[in-house]
Amino acid sequence: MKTFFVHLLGIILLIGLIIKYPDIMINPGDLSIGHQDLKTKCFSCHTPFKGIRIEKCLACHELKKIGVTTVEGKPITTPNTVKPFHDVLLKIDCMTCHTDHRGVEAKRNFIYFSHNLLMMDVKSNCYSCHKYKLPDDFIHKQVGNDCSSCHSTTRWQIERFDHSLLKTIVGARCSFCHKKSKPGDVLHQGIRMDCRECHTTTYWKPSTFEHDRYFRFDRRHPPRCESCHQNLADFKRYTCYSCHEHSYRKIAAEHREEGIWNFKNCIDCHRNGQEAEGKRNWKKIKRGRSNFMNLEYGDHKEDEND
Amino acid sequence: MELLIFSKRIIPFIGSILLLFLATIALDYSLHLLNLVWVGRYLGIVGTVLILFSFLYSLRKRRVIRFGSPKIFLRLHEYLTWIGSLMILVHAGIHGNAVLPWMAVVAMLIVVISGHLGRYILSQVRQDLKVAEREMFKQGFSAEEIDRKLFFDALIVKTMENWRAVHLPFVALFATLAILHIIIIILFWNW
Repeated sequence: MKTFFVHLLGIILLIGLIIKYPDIMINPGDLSIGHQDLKTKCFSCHTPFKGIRIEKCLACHELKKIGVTTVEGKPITTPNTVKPFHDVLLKIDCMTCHTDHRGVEAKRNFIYFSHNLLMMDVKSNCYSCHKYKLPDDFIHKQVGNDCSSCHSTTRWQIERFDHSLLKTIVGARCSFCHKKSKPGDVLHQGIRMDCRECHTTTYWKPSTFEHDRYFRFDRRHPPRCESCHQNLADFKRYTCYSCHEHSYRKIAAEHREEGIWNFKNCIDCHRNGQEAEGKRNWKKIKRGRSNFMNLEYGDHKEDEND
Repeated sequence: MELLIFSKRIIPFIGSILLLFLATIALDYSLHLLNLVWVGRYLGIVGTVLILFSFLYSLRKRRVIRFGSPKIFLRLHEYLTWIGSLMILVHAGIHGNAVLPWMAVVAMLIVVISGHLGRYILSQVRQDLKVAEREMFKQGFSAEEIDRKLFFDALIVKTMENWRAVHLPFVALFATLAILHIIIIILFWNW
């Protein structure tokens, strides 16, 4: 019996403490600055067994005035959003975005927002909220006013930019926008061609350029552009005669000995440093199983000496 | 002998409690990693139900129910309370600010530790004391001499036998605090 009374006294004491100091005993987290005076008045916001009812929020926070004036009626000089939007929400459910107690979901406090909560006509018209934030840079002046062409409501950073939105002249000059990111390697620095020869506007990487299609580098044929491409402004032109190993007279003699008279465009047969593969390719061309490379070769004089 | 005592009693005792804390950290960390922190809220319910089930042992011991072996119910009590405590510790996490649920967690930990004491230490120590008494009797010591020599050991066992004096009131305290916590959640939450 004594134990029972001790237990009962303990329960009464605990309940007393909860009623007297709810902010210490049961408050799961600190309230927002504006709600500090409600710390011990739980039922100002909570309805027993029903949680937070929006009627209680709206009793103080009039939708049209959120972001315009404080609950006391004082004008807000530095609002958090460009334009008040609480009165154009599809559904009024404060708890979807707001949670007051900085407890388990502290990070959610006043941060969560989804454009899907906005009425359709507001959602589809970005300018109704964002017009003062339209960037004043070159690109945005080019692409026009339809933000949703590039930006989405879930992610402001664009993942893929539709280059067809650009005006034609600028669209053809990639370096106008991309010059800062042009690689500093020998290949790119030497190229004067249009980027679109190798790259697409859908994906920057991988580029469509594959040197192996034309010639495969090896130890004796290292990837030094100027060894073959004497005019770095035009990579379609090349020559194999800039190396002392390959003189016209020697090459001509060797080819004629094999009965090959058309040997002006070396890479038609020689796609690497292997002579045997060169011979195989020549046979394929002869049998019509392979085509000539659509490349220009360099100028060379037929009386060129070693 | 010293090593045997250590490996048979101290290691399982500390090991089980340590494992409980490590499992709590691992489970809590995994939930954070998998972005499933919300699961912790419901682990409190599952943990409480498991602990409630473990009380079948108390009912069997007090003959409120008459089926099943008390020994099996005791094992069930030990396992269910261990897993239930783990879930409640994860549920408590590191977030809450309110004092009441923390008091419940502290009370639960005292219950768990006192329970472990009864499970791993007391039965063994009591056994050891009996063996020592028998040995001394065989060696020809008189009853008075045995009492004098084993006075402090007997005193320790006697003191430890009072572990229920800690275990049971804290079970009542934990139950009270947990019930109050549940009532408050039902009162304020929108279920």
